[in-house]
Amino acid sequence: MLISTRSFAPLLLLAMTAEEGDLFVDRVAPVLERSCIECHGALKQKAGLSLTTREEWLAGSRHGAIVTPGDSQASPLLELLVGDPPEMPARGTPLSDEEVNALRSWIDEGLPWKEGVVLGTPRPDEDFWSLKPLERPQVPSVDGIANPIDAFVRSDLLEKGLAASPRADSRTLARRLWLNLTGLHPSFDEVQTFAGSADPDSYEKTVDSLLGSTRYGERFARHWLDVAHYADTHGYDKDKPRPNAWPYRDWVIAAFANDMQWSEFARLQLAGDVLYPNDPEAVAATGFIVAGPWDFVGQVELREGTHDKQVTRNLDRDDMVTSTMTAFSSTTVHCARCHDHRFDPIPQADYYALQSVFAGVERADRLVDRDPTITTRRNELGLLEAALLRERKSLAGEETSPGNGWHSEIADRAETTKWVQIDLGKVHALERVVLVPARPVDFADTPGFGFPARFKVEASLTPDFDSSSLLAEHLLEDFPNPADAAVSISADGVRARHVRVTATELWERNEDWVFALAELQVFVDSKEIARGSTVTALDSIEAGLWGRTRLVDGYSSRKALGVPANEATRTKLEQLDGVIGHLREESSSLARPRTVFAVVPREPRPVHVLDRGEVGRPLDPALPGALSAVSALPSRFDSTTDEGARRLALADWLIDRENPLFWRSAANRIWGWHFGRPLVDTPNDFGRMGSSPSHPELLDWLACELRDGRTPGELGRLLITSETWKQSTDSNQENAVIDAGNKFLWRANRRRLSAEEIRDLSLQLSGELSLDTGGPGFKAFGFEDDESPRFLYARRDVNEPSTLRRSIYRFIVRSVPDPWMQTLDCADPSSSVPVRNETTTPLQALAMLNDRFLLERASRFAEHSGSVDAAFRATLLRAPSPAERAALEAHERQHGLESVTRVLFNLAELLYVD
Amino acid sequence: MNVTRRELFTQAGGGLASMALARLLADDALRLHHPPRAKRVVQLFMSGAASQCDLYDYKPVLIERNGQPWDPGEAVELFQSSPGPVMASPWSWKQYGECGKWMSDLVPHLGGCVDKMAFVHSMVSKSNVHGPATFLQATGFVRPGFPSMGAWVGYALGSESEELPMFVALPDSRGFAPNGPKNWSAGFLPAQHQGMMIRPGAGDPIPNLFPPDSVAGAEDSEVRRLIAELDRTHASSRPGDSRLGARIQAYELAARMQLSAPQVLDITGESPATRALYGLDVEPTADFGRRCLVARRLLERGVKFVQVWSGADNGFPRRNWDSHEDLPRDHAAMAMEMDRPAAALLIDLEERGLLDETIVLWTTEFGRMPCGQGAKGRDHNPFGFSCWLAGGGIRGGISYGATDEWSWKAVEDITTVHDVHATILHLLGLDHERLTVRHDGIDRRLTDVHGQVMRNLLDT
Repeated sequence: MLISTRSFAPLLLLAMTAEEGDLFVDRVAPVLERSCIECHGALKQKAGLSLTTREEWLAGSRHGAIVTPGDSQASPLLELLVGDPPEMPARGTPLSDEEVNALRSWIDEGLPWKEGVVLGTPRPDEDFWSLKPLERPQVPSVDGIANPIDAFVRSDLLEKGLAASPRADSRTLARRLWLNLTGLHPSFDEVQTFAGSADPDSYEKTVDSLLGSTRYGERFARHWLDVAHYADTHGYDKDKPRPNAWPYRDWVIAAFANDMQWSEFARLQLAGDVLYPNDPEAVAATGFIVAGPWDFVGQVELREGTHDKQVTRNLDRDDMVTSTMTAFSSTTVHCARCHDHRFDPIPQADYYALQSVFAGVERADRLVDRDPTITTRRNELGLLEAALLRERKSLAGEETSPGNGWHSEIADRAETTKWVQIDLGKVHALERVVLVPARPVDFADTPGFGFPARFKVEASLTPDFDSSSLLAEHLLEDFPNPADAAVSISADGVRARHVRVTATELWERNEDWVFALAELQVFVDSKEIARGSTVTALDSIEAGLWGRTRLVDGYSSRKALGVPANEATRTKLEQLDGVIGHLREESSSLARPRTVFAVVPREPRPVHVLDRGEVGRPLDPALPGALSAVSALPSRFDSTTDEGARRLALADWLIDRENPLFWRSAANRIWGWHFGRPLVDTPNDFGRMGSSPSHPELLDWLACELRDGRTPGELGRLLITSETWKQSTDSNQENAVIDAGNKFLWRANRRRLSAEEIRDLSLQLSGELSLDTGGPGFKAFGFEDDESPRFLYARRDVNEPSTLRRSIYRFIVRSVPDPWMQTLDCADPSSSVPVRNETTTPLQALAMLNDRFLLERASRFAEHSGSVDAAFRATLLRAPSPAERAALEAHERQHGLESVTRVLFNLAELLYVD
Repeated sequence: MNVTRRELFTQAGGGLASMALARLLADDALRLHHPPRAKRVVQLFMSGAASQCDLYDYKPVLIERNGQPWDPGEAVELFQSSPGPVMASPWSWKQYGECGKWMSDLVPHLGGCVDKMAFVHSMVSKSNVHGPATFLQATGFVRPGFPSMGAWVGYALGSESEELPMFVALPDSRGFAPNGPKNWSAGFLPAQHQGMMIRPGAGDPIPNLFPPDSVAGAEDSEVRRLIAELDRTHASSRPGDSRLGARIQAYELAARMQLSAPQVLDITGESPATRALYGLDVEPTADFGRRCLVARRLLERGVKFVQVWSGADNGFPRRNWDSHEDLPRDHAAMAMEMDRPAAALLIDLEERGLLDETIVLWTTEFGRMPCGQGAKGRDHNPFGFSCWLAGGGIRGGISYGATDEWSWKAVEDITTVHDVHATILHLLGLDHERLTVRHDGIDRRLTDVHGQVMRNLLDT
């Protein structure tokens, strides 16, 4: 069914927590919450009626009373609920007779209410499965079963009348094992060895060797990076690359390959930089927090202090909160941004407490030294340099410019005459005149902006320039644009009070023409005297950073101008410059730091609870904290201004033994990555809108194992050495009747290969797969940075050696996803992807048949396999049947072996894992 | 491309369209919430922010006070600049149609269609930044990760044609708008609902539709046959897994798509009158005109939603509607590309009897300020802008909502994109509050938790 009727899930918790037989709690409240509260509750009050408290019931609607307590006969409400169709509820199923009767009795009893209950508001509920304190369940004892996984699963199967499936054959098992743990194939020979081994422990030994390989780290990192919504660009408009994001990806690979404890895995990703500030790996781990999209335009280009800036930052923190709580506790806290969570016990205040944890996090490149003394020294040098630069600035006046300069009005042709002139106040013997070209800060960066192609400079005693001295004349030939270089014009001591620059051919802006200068300087006895003089012009733009007074304000478009006249000051400046030079030299001689895109801390910004999530409607200030629903733990942290302490507090809150969400969330994910389907099939949502576990006791047992010290790899080993994991995927009529969806695991789940696996296998089969590990991602696209970066997949070279690596090392672009990968259900890094979609579409068929990259791999595969038999064995890890061999050899005779390998790449037997 | 292969697929593909249609008719009745007025949508998206006060939102006071300091009586917060003086549109205005709608000289051809169009002058956006605001118009959310309106429509209505996708995006030939293909993403819906990108006129309009020329046509069909044969054997020993059958079918559909997609893009059979109507043989209308015409051809063949983009990224020189520096130059260029083809699409759909069941939505991410930026640009205006709808149950010749006297802030019948989305879904027979998909704990809707059907726009 594609369209589900919108369901306002009834809050069953009331029914679950109350004592037996409470009329209001058991029979009335669930009906009201299901059928009435959506339109008559906190969010909407249709007809002015809200029904969430007893007081509101008594207050009635805009039209008057709805009930008379103690007298259902006199209560207008009941009439609305009966009839065909009844007037209420306006949408959804009418109330049953039984439900109407319950309401009638409740009204007759005088509307008894349960103290403190507000309908439609979730209440903490430790009886809900995911919030229940974690207690280690007893492993069921089943005859002849040693592996606890099997014990849990078999005892359920027995209870449901289901029979476990036989073990899959060893070829199938080998392929399943290699693909599950490494994402790559075994060779045909490895399969033979695996199948033929007489060693009773050979299966376990194979598992151990695969689990210990970097290939395992690469494979499992991909699962986690889907959850973390990792990519190598910012996303949104102007999707800029993040050239230093990859250290986080490499850190995740290493964490799986080294089999890190899950608690450590979480703690480092949230606060690695706080715990180990000098360990580049630990700092890179915080790449998790910053992995998501970031709005460059909103963050960088948008003006500070605007409403949209606040919105941008609010949504940026929201991404961090959502990502963290989704990944590590499978809760949907983001539903509480605008109002209390409507289904789970998460008040809005908790959500903003979490935002407060991340209130001092910026996403940016961070430099990390392995040797802390180097950091110390670099910081010292930096501080010294800053102090000297400050001193230099106060001596030389090197502060930022308040304006661009002077700008004429715009002309529609180049040959237009415009002039600007200054009045020096009295007559001087002029030494020289200097024209400083403009370089506006609020326009595309163009040195020499507005500098005329043809112009003259004159000096005069009178402002009308009727009789003037010509200081420079470039009227017949174009003057080369000086870019940033000031143009100095000698005046030879001419006596004048006024200086005028006349442009006769203007500078071309965007198919229009202008005249602009940053500054007009006049020197007398080596001293600049034009500053502050009166400026007049034929016309000028007086807006923003442009204006007549800017022409003589002592600043270029960027900074203050001029060398101080005082010789002592000049000497002092030279000395300063020398020392600064030495400092910079020493700084650059220090061992270079690692650059990682990670958390860059700053002083936490204030965070408020926001009415309806609107930044313009702040309520109470929010202090750092987490979920009050986890009642064993304090839900608010010390309200420290220490940014790192806030994140560390959240990390420690998450990984606490008493936090049942954390351990259950992890156990469920690890199970899903090995079995193809998690025990709770909404791994990012353990709330009421999510699913409940198919095997609750098994999930808790696994969670306890993780909590009590078993690593993810050790847990995985337990899972894949179980008979449950080794079952065949074959269906079975009797079982299918009882459990067609295989919820109870009476067989293994067949799965399609992921986009990454298909790509990697094609390279493995063609013999081209580079197993180089780590480092910057390979770019399988052409790239142009043209203000807005452009990613051009059509332009890639499909044989470029640097791209023939495992797909985990792909440079992932957010705005323009790799179209081939996307067609094959690759994860979208916009948001967390706990389980990939598996679609079957005609576009996939075209992508598999015709993609140039795959065709090239098929062709190389044909070259080095040499025969139909060899290619078939490498692809499907078995020998072809006589019929298959005959068909393929006939095809080879007509179309060549590379057409056979093209066929092989498209076979369901390759693309699905039994 | 190979003629032999084409001929082969012609034979393979015959006679199936009618079957697909029959199935659709049966399915539609099950899926809709109420009887529909429209069956399909085409969205013309003006990227970069098209100026309402230079196209459709006529304000005489801007002409009267042109060049005077602008004082709207409250603080003005702009994206890039400080507010300049009042700036009249560089184009003059006149009235069109029976309804007497004022339109600027930038859009004379659309002027001829005003009696078919319903203008909404009171649009507001939640964001003043291109990326988020474009997401908002395309998906109903300011952030990435949500399905585009076309993905929702395809998801809800299903396909009329198995050989063509439900949702097609036709980007500007100069490049992608902000957010790139994320603007036609399926978000959390299954991958088949993402907009299929087609670049009509490009060398390779649909990547991977055909193998490279090095693969001969005969080989290609043999490859397919052999895959089908081996896959059938594989599937027969694995009963009870519908995916394996679906896969074999997907390869057959792919072959039919190879036949039908080039047909839909092949506009050589269009009459000279049609070519002239869309301005196909002249600049600057050729590119947008071709894409509008292809949109019509896609809609005719059962595609449910087509997005046609006017405007690429925010690079320089300007190649979209984001006219901060030079409105007379940049808006003139964009509008001249768009005006004739957009009007042609309305006229052509009507002449073919399709407009009745096709909603045409013209939209942009936000508007532009009535004051100047620099000498002749306009900054962003999320507080008031215009869009229009036509066809498919929309009442023509009306203007709904209004901005203040300046064309700055929407003040009357303030309208959000959610209202527009709700109205379009309504016309398609869908209740926007009931079209939901559960994702990470929330029953997600195209309209988030907002949206009112705009009854005043409906023609009944």
